[in-house]
Amino acid sequence: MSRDTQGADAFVLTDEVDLVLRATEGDERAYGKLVGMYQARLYNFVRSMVRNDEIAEDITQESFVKAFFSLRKLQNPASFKSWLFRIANNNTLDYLRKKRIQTVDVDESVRESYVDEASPEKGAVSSSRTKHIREALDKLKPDQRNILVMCDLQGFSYQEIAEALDIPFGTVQSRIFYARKKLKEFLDKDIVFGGEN
Amino acid sequence: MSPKGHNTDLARLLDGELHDMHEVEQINAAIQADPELRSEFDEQRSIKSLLGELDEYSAPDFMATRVMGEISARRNASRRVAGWRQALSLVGALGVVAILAVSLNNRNLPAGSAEGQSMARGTVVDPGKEYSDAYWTNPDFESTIEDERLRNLLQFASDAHRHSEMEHLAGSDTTNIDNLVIMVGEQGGSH
Repeated sequence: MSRDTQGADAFVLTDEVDLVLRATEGDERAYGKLVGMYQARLYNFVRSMVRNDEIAEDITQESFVKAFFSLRKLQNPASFKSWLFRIANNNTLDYLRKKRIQTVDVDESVRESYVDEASPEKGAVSSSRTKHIREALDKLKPDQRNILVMCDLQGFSYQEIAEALDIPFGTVQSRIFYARKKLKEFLDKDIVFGGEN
Repeated sequence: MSPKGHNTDLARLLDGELHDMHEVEQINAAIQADPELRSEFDEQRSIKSLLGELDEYSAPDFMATRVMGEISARRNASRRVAGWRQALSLVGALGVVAILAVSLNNRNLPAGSAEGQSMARGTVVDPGKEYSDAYWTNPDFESTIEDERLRNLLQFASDAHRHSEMEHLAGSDTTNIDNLVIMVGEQGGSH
């Protein structure tokens, strides 16, 4: 990371900390700016986990609302991003847990054949390759999927992931490694690698 | 450290999470020396690269509006609840004050009343019954009460009692007001 980039990051962080502090005092406009800053990333994270547009919207909204009313519990305003994603991750896992129980109650085979409920990637015709990768990602257990989405799709650092998922740094490292290996098992080599591997 | 021990460090190296240059060199050397480890590293790299190809899902444009609308709605709702709570606490506080006022008033009962005696005995006396007993046994009881509002209240209770008694005498199913009026007239001067 260059010095200029670091300076820009520090400025953004200071700005964000200021917004978090103002929002903690009840300033809705400040919180509105934070929502604007994170809505795309948070929605993208949740949507990658739940495979349904409407449910992803609901979980994202509820996570932002819950975060606003819990801001006083946030000890370090600089950790707002990790903390927000932790709330979203917990909400998402709760939803998946409930859905899994309901699905298993109905019919185990339904869960096995469960596929993305909405059209993939809005506004873009997704290739069969990216669709296949998404489907393979969906087959991972939630605690492997969330960590790969954070690391490889969202660009979180290990430290941020550790804070967001409330797990030790070493666990982040090993979980990412094994999640990637597991994902490879679900990928059709012919589709993804064109028979190279 | 055996080459296997480097396995999870491969992910750290790939993700730029290794900051110790000595460690980086050590793992790079291990990757070069061990084909199995190199194969693991390539696999990690290819998966990371594949995931990087995925398009992002785009959040709906109205997400921020929706979130802020929900926050405002919930804040307003909680303000209303807080308002009701405040009103209820006020009513509760007034109730306590009223009870205290009545009990303090009871201390003004005529000397030698049953209440005073029962207090001395450590038993609890119903202040209403005290007034009632004193009312029926002492014809001048009303004049001993200094508080005009209390006197009026006693008068009201007395009238209500008499009215209830008239109803009872006339029969519970009667609707004949005339009978009641006559009975009230007959018993009106009895006290």
